[in-house]
Amino acid sequence: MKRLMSMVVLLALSVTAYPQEQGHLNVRTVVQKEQVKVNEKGEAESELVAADTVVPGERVVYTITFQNISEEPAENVVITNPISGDLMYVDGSAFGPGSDIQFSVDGGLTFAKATELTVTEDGTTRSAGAGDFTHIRWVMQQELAAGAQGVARFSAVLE
Amino acid sequence: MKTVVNSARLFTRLGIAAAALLLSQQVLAVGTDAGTAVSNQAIVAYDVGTEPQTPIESDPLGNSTPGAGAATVFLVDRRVAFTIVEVGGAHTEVAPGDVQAFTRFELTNNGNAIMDFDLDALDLTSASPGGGTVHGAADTDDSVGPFTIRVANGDGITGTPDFATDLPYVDELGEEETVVIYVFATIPGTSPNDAYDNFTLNATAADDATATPTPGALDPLLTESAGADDPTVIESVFANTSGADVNGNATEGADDGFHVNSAELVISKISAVISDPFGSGKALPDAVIEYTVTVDNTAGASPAQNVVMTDTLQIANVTLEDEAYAPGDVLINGAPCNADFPDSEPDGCTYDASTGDMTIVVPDIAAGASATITYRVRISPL
Repeated sequence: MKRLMSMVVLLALSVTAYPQEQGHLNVRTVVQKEQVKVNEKGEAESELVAADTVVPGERVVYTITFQNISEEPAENVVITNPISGDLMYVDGSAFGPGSDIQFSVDGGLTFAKATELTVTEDGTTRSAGAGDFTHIRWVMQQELAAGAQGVARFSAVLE
Repeated sequence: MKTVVNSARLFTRLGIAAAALLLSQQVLAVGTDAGTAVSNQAIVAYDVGTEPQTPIESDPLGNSTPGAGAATVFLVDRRVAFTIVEVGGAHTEVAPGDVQAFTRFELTNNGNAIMDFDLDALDLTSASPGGGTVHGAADTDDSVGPFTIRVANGDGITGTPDFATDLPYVDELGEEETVVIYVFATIPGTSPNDAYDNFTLNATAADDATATPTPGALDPLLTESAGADDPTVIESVFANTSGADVNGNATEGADDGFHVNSAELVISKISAVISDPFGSGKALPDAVIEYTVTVDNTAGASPAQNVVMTDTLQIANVTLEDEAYAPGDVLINGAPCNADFPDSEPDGCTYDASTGDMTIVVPDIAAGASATITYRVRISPL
């Protein structure tokens, strides 16, 4: 809740600062819920449904789509997404075609591959786990051509 | 290799043991509170040519204007999970006439919202499924009641019952909190010995629409939200053992009962000829007959109190033998008693010679014991 409020304040300021500026990309984030159901063959299948009803322990999926709506290619596209404190990133769930996926364990100050991050607590250093990640970052390896669309996705469990 | 000390994310990972020291344990143990808005927003940075552009924030519907996006938010819904258990695993042993006899239950909220619980005690009968059997004993009696439900103050387990009001509901039970509920009953004086009166205590989850505690009133009973609906509303997902009941509410029940321990008296009266004019041992005119009345509480589970024995002698044919057990006329458990009329001594024995009415007040007879009253009559001479 606090996070949301601070964001609202930020937005209000930003709007005042850049009221008319039109960017080159259209960015959309959709949240869905991952629901596991048993199909006719008796196999467990997961499907994405609207995140209308989410209770602790359930898994949500965030899908970020970004389309270049300008006439020029976009270079060095980097998508950064903070992970809400009420959510726990699902290990290995981050997905993004053509992107190098990196994580932060320090609130978004620094990023590295998941396997390269460590955490030190009580004087002991260990490899970082899914629960340590505060931010995810997708670094596009190629330019995003005019009119092209990219996607980034990750899953998290509501704590 | 990058090494970062991160204490903020540490809490969630270490789990309950460490978190209890640092944060409110109940919040973590049952998950994010219902009503929490979980927001997420991606920021995309990019260059055009070699010129860095102003990053663009995401929006649920798509945004291309820097600074104009909005977070993608969902509201955490209500996970309805709770248990009600009977405390002790046995019937409450009671005696006829007991007032404020009570049994105990424990209600625990395992959900992610502070909730109310409506309470209802339903009497089981021998016609109930399974014969209304609780703790291995079928229901044999429906005389106990009405049941009064009270919610305990404090832990409710030690000492005498402590309760604030007669509220038949639990007001604002916190996450991971347990409350003790008493069910009180008055045991009728006529309840038979070894009777079992069983009942079910039902608890039904209730909360207001915003999952905000509103003490002092029972919130509306919750129904499970079905189908696609408004993501801005806190909905309810039933995670209780029984799911939805016939009314669509989340109800859990626990059984208990009262076991009546009463006196169970068996009366016998035998006679023996003490003397007769001819020494024949026969009940002839002018013979003296001794009656021995035994009041037996061997089968009883409680002391028999205020026992009064009455006998009406047929004064046309017999008279009570005066001073048969000098200085008394009657023996009660071997102790002499003067059967005068009216009773001039507080010894509990009266005999009205004009009517033949004899009244004997018998001392309390303990469970498993018996009392004996002995008196003699003389058959009227010819």
